[in-house]
Amino acid sequence: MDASPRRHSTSPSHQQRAAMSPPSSPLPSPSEFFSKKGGGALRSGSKAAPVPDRAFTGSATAGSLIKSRQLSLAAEDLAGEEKPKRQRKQLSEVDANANAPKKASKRSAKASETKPGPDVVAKKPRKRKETIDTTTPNPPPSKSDAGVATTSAPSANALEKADAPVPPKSKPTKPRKPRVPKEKAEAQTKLKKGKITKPGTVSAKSKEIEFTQEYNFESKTTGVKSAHFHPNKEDMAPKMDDTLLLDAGEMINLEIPVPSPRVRDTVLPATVKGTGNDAMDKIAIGEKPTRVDEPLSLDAAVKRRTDWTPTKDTEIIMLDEVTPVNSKVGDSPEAHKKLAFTSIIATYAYANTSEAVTTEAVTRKVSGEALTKRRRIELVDIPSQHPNTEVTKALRKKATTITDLVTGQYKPNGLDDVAAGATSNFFGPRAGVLPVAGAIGNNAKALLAPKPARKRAPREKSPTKADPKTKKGTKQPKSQPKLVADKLLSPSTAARKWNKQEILFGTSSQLARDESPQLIRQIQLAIRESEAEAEANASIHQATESVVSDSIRSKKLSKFTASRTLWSAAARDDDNQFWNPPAPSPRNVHPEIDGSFVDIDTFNDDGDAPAEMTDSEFHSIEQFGEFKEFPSEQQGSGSLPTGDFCNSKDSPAEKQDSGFHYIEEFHDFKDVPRRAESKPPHTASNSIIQLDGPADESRFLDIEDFQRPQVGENQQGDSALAASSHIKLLENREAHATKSQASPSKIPTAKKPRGRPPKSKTTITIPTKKTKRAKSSPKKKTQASRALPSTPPRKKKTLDFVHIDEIQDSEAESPLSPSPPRNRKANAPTLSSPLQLRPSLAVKEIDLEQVKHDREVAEKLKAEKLAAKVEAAKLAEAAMRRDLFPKITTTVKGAPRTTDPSKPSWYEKILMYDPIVLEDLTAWLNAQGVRWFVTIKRKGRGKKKAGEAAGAEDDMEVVEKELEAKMVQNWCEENSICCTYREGTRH
Amino acid sequence: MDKPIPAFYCCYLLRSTKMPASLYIGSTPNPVRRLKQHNGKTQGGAFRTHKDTHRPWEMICMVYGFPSNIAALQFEWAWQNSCFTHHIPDEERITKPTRRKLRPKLDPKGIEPPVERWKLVRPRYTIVQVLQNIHLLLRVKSFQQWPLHVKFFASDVFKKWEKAKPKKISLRDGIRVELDESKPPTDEVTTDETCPPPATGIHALDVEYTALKSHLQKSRFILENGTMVACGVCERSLRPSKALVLVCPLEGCRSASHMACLSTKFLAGGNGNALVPTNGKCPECKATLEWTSLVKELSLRTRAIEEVEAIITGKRSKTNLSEAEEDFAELVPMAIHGDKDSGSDDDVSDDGWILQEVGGIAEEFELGFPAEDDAVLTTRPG
Repeated sequence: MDASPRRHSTSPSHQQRAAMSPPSSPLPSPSEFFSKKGGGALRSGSKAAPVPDRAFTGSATAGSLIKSRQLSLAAEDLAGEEKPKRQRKQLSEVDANANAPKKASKRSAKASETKPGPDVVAKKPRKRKETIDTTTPNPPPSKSDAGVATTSAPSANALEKADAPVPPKSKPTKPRKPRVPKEKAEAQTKLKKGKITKPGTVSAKSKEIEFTQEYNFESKTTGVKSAHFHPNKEDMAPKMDDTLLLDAGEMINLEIPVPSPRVRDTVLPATVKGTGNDAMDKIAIGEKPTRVDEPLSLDAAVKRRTDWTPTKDTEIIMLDEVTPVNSKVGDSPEAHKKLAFTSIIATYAYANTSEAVTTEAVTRKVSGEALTKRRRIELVDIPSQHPNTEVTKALRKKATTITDLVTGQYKPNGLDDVAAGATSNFFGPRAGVLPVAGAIGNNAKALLAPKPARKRAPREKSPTKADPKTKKGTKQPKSQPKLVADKLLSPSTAARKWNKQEILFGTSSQLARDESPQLIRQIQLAIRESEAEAEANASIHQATESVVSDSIRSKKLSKFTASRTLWSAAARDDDNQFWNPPAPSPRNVHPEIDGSFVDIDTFNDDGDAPAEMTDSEFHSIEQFGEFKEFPSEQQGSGSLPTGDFCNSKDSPAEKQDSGFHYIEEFHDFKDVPRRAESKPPHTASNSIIQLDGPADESRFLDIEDFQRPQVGENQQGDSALAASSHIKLLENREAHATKSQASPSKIPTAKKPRGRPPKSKTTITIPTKKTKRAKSSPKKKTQASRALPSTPPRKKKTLDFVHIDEIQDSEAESPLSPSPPRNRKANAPTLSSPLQLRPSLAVKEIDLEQVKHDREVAEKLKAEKLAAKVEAAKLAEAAMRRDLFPKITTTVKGAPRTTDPSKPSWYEKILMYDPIVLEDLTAWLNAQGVRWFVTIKRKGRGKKKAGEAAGAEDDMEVVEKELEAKMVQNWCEENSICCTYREGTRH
Repeated sequence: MDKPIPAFYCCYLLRSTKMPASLYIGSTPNPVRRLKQHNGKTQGGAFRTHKDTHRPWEMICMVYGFPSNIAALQFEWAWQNSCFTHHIPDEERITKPTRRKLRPKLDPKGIEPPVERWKLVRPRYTIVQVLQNIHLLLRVKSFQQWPLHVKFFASDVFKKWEKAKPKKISLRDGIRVELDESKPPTDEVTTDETCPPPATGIHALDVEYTALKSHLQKSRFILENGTMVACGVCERSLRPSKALVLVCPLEGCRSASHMACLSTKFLAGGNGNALVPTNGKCPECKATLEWTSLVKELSLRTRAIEEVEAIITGKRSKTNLSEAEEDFAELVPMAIHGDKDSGSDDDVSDDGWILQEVGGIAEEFELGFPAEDDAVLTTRPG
């Protein structure tokens, strides 16, 4: 009925007709509708338009209303923008029946008696529709609209909307019909909104007051219209229900939508019932006038609400699909409500229409007027939008499986992009959503969680304002990520992770090897260690030099940048060629960096200061990253796989956006082990650097020594330092190789590495990072956190990304001298332990090792058993050959000759080359009393003749056993006798 | 069990004339017919030999004299799978199986690393290895006492055999290794229908019991004469109905003896601890007799009475001459045995090389004597 009233509203003549003689016209119109589309049923549903009136009274009518509304909804969305405006204009002009539906109402009011006038003038189909609408025919178009927005639209549009139809048509593609349904849809949507508005109207304030005014007019008008329709509806109500049911049955295509609207209508009517009832009463013969007076204001709104409510149903579908759009516009709340009400089936049914509706909805929003009501609803929705965000959050949380995390690292863009794109608010939820993933990038942050955050935030802010937000987000996620990680640690998942990690990580060359993952890991660790040593050595040299240097922080920054830049810097070297001149004395180049390291170390000693340093480093890195990282990234990505990671790091430093985070995470992973290594050098560098400063060689030794204690001592700046150290190592290597000429260029590069750690900070997505960070944060507290570093190494191990670094390192190392890093292999165990970021993973690794070991042991045992068995068998055979075979031979030979040539004895068979059936011969031998003896106490079975058995030497209990076919087989083969098992019994 | 010893059964080695590296090991009681099958001239060839790129195949070597189809099949399998057969001690094994990597077994739970799996597969043998395996199999305990002989039909292969066989280890004395030097018939040979060219190579093999005709006739004459015949060994009276009696095949020698007695005598003659003698001297004529020939006649006489009658009377049994055999009538009119090989050629072996031809173990030897045998026999050499 909604459709019908709306149609009427669009064309007052229709309304009048509906009031006048709904039943007569309906039959033809539905047929037409059916002919027009499969949605003829829908039209019948649109006939339900009268039903909605009933729906107010009864559920079935509500369903029909909904159908009509759905149909109208699509149209409304499309035409709503235009029509409502137009209607509103008209309404403004003619308040009572102003709106497009009002137009109809006006028309109806005016020409309620003289329907044909405007309607007929407009178009005959409208008349038909109107007639149909009044009776049952109107509902079918509405249904058709719901089922197929385009189809429904043309009918109504043709009549009412000469103006608006074009734009709505453009969306639905069906010009005229869609227009009418659009109007209807508008009215319906309004009705829905009206329903919503009842609750939401209060909240609806925010949006346009004009709309509210219009709304009131419309509501009034609608109420009038509804009143007009209501009588019809009342009259038709039971009929319509039946008809609707029948229609639904008839409506094959629209069957699904029909029931859903009914249900929706039922739901909606409850709210609108009062209005509906009023309308019904009004419509009811005598009451109409009285209520018409009142309802014009109140009832009309209610009626529209009812009408709107069914439209809401359609909208619901709309909402489902349109929710994104609605969320933008603010319609999301309706969608949510509708979603709650509507069943999944309903959503599916309307899906087709929803598309057109979605487009329409957008247009409406643009137009605004019709949207006003809608917008009001939307305002209500705005609070409801939270559920959307919640949903998204929940989804994100769901996504935080280990597999997702692992894979996510490789597919960083999705989550990271979202996080990056979102503002601080987004980050907040994101943090909750992506806590696990984010942590990794925050290694530095984790290490210095409290301090670094502060420092980092300001520093980072300086390079990029967005970064602090991301950082904040990352911080929150950190705590959560840990939890997630814990959850994730379930054995099965951990095992999977293990496998995946082993498979995924490692350089191509490493992977190419057939070596076990353990070996690869060890190798990687060794390489890392070696690299770290080299870096540490370089850092020490630098430190010694840098000690003299004035600005510690700047130096630190330079170091970090240098180190971080090393990744990208390698490429830079290629491009910029600053580093190209490989002066054998990296010291000169690095001293600045070294000095920074030394400073950092000193800060680390102070405790908090190192964190600051790390932060500052990160900032600097970010800054530098902006300057240099991008090129370096590009270069690095192009040149090496690790380069990609560097790029990612750099980008996150700058923007902390999506894809890069993953890379950062990887870096973090890499960094973590290295951090452990590098940290000690940093902390130790203060003391050691001075000692070792003069000699490079001594540096290596010292670095190793220092690193070990440092790991325990300074965990604060470990993350950042580690990253920086890694970079530094790389840089050092590069420097050694290239001996970068321009120290300033190095400094920015060093800053870039800093940028990487901030990226890691920003990157909340990776859970492993979070865990690392969490661990790292305790590290700041000091040695007590040593256990934590162990866990991060696990992560490192698990995350084979380090391998990539290793590859680069290995490459860099090759020119330098791999020997010194190898010296640190002794430290490898410690490094290895820290490399394992995930304790569970480490456990799994252990388990794997154990499994392998167990397998080996089991295999050995099996082999031993087999060997023992073989030996025993040999002994047994020897014994048999010695004892049993002669007995068998004598028994066979000694058997009496056959007296029947057809039944030769066994020996005669043998002489005649008959294949011997072992089972038979065995049975015969056993029957002849041939036995073999087993000494139970001995492992080896002593097989002796019965006579000899008595003389068992060792008091062995000799058991007499019957021969087995296998023994006889051996005897036969021993004597070149062709033997075979009975067919089918072969072993 | 009640089948007579087949007139002929061999394990043969085929070599592709187009791809000499391709070899095939099979067994058959009728090499000529089987070779035609392999070459696609008749139905029933082996799958492994069906490729036209390898045809025609030539039979370059055979081990014959198997006392039963089961024995032949066992030897064939051992020959084909010399890397697996238990008849060859591991310490003497020449060929080792190769590992074929299979898909690793994955832990369904994903916890344990995948388990590597291998499948042991017999390698691709070379001609030399095959020949060496012949030598080895003839020396292993399982087969060394079998009345087997080796015949080569290609001189180059025989040279390889001579070169490949171990120098210090010799085969049992009773095993004959010989090269068939008869020249294969050439296409140019005048095809005189009345006087077909002499059979050569495998075509010259006697795969029928015809050689036993005289022996059968003699034994019947001696044993069914109604006169008392004393065992040549124990000198007790022989009652063919009560005991298994062996008759000296040599013409002019009327010696007959209990099988047990003669076996004992032969074994005492120097066959060591063997249960079955290989040969010995006739107690009367002192001629060296092969145990196989004695037993073959005995088995045929005692187990295939109808066939013996057919052989002696020269009448072909109604059932025993298959159509396929008739096809061979030109060259091998005596083909009597139903070829178990036919139709059982699907090679299960994974290796393309040596293909095993598995015949039904329960093959029944249908003995028959072609009615035209006489005429055919006249055409046959010797």
